[in-house]
Amino acid sequence: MIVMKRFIPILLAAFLCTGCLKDSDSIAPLHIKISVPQDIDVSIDLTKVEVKMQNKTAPFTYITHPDADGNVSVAVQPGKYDILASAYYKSTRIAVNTSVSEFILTENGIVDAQGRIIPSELDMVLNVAIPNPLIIRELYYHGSSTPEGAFYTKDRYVEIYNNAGAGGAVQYLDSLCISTIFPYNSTTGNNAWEGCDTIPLAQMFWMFPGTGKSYPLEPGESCVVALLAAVDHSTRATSGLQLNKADFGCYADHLSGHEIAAGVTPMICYMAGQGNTWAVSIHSPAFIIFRPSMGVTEYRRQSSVWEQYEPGKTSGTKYWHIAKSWILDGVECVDKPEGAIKRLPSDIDASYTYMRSAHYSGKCVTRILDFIEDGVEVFKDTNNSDQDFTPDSPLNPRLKK
Amino acid sequence: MRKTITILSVMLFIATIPLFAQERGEKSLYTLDKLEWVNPWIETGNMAGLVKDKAFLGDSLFSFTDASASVKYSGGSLKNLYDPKTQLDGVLNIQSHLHLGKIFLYGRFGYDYSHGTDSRWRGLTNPYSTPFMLTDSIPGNLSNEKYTMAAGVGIPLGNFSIGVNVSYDVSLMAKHKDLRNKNTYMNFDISPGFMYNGKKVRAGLNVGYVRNTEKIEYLQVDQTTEKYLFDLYGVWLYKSSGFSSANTSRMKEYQDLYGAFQLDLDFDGFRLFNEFEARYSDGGQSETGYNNLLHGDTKQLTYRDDLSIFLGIKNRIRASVEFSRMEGFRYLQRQELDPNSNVRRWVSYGGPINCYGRDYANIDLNYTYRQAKTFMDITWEGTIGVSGCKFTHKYKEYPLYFSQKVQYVEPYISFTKYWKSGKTMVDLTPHISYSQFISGTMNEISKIGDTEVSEGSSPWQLTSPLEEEYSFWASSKFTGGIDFRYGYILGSEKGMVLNIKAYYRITGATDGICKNTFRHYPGLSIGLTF
Repeated sequence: MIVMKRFIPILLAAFLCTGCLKDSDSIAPLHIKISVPQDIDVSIDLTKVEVKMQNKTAPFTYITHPDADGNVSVAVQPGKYDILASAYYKSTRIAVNTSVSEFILTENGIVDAQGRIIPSELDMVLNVAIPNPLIIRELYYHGSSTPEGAFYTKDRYVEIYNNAGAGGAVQYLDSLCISTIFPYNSTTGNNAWEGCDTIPLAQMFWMFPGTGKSYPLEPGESCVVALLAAVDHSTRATSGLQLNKADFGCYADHLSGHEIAAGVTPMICYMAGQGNTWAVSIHSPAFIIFRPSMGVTEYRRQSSVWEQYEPGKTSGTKYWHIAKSWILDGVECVDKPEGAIKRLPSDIDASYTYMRSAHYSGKCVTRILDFIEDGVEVFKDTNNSDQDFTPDSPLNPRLKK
Repeated sequence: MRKTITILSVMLFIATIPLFAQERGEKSLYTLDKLEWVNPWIETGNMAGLVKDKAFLGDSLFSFTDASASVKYSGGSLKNLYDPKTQLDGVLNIQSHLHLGKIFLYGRFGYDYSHGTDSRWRGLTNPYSTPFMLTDSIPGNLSNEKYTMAAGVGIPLGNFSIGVNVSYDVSLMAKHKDLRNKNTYMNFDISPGFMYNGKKVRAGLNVGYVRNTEKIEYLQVDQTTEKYLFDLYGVWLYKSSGFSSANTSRMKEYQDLYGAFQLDLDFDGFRLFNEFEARYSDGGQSETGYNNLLHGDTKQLTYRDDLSIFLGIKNRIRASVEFSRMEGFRYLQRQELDPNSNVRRWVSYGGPINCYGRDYANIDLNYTYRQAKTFMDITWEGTIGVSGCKFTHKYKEYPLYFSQKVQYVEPYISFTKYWKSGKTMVDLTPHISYSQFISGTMNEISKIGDTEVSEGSSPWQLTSPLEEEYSFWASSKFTGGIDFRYGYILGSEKGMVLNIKAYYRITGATDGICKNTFRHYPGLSIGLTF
């Protein structure tokens, strides 16, 4: 009876509380103010800016446009969101974009980095993209399969292109570096480096050899770099790539997982971590080309400045970092938008691209051709890979004849 | 767990042994169905009502036990999405009502091993218990081993009686093809109750507490190809990811509180028995382990009322209604570094997000007429009735809503003829029902406001299973069958009867996508009542 005396009030209380079992919505309002930097003397029609709000935990993308003053109001379900605001004005070749990554929007406001609730208002200042001559034209990271059907990853490559257009300047590859940045994959639960002013390199980076003007790249020319094995893969993999005709190969004697054929120029390896093979993610690398302002030799000498622990930690692995301003081009590849972390700053890549096909598809991401002038191709470069790249493209590296 | 099962099994088995079986004239005619006419309290969870077992157990030490071993099969293309293509069950069941002095006891033990082929999407033992489920799409054989145990006691105290019911069910379900889920299920239910036992008016109240858990673990054995796990929510909305060692296990934990009120009026040939139950269920799913990742909670309130009116020993009218409302909630979480443990944990922000609603209603009304000399000595009986069901559910991703509705009505009729000659008894029960689909909506997507909403990297919903499940619900179906029982009285002094039962049922769809598909249900059992 004592048990029942205790149970009955609990039961009654529970039933009274069930008044909350009604069909109510959880709604989070958000106001966004889009603006153009004051020091930019160009006319930007803000109503043409597409504001794309991507839910990070569910496959929902909300698209709207601001009014002429740049005001946007939306009401969505509370969640974790990315916002990308972008526009490309083809007549003037001006691209603008800006983004906010992975913020938490509740019914009562936005959760800031310290976990505090702040008003649901965002001020987003547009970046005006200045075209960069050296770009990543094609990146093949997905891998393929062997004729027997097993996964195959050694046939991957990147192609770097001089996008200066007809009459543009020659670009020199000497001392240019390529790498991926940390975390390796977009599916990592959290990006410890979010908000940092430097960029962590994943495991290693590779430098083009040369003395300064050894490897010129004319406008409209490109070079292919084999990431793991600059050899003929035509009998090994369904991709059929003959990367023995690549211009450069990432090869170092101490890396047992790498191969190179005669006639391919080896890149120079700089370790920023450990391993026997360059671990380029097969589903979501954030790939960059960069050039340290002080030169690679001096950069490596300044290890006390550029080699740091993971933010918030004082022990464990140290990671080499670079300054954001050294990055010439980058493409943020994610596995899928839902749950993806953003690693590249928005002025390098305001969004991300992703493969719709299954892993090991033998497909790549390739840059969209914008126009051809005097026989020289100019590819789209708005610092917004969602608009600049076509995912799931057939492999088409411009190999040596 | 095996130790617990063993101990409980032994206790319950001992409780069900008819140590003190005594002669009673009609005992050989007893069946569990017939006992419910005599004492409707045994259908409730209020074990204080066990004292009314006296109506069939008598004044002296006496018991009634039903033990059986069964084999059941079902197969055919007409099936709900989660059903295996074929299923074979081996079932052992024993239950007993026992009278020890003033104390009335009830015990039940069951074991069910089922093996199904080509089972798909079944990430939970009951996929409809929650709108959130971790599952995979690859068909494979599925086995489910289930133990069910219950024990009850009723003790008279003057014009009152008290009682308690305890039940404990465990099951282990396993799929035998990648991705392989292993589900460890447990349900514990305890319910004390009391009854006022007047001569013509009886009333009772029992309250209960249920704890229900299910651990879901996924495993991939063949590593040569990539397999995908699906995180389902709502109306087949989903997220999928390639299988990895992380995020492959969940713990589903629920607690129910319930209370039931019974009223039993007995006036010379007129008897009204009514039970009203209200139940509140609350729980959710989380990742097993330390990191506090939450996968969705539900709260459910269910009201049920069962009314039986008996007119003498020949007529019974039964009506039952059930309404339930479920709300689903998700949490907004961010992984953060815990400075104390240096481990990343999921931290929740804001309140629970109300993202799901389900309304369910079921009603049943039937009338049974018996040509009978006593409660147990029946020549024939016929039942005619109708049931109806309606449910709607909706997933909300504001400003979008995904909703589904189904409504159907099912008239049914059955007839049982009882023959008895010497030591031999034969029962034959043909029955037929027709489930008529009334109306429904497979997938209605509505939106508030003018914000454009588009799909991300993948479609919002898995349309193939959505269509397959709905096409089953939206098909009108007939079910016909026949049940046969052969009984042979082994010991008339103790009322021991050998029972051999066989049944066959067939269900066929008469319209919709499933039209002209069928499923067959044969079964055979052998057992004793004593």
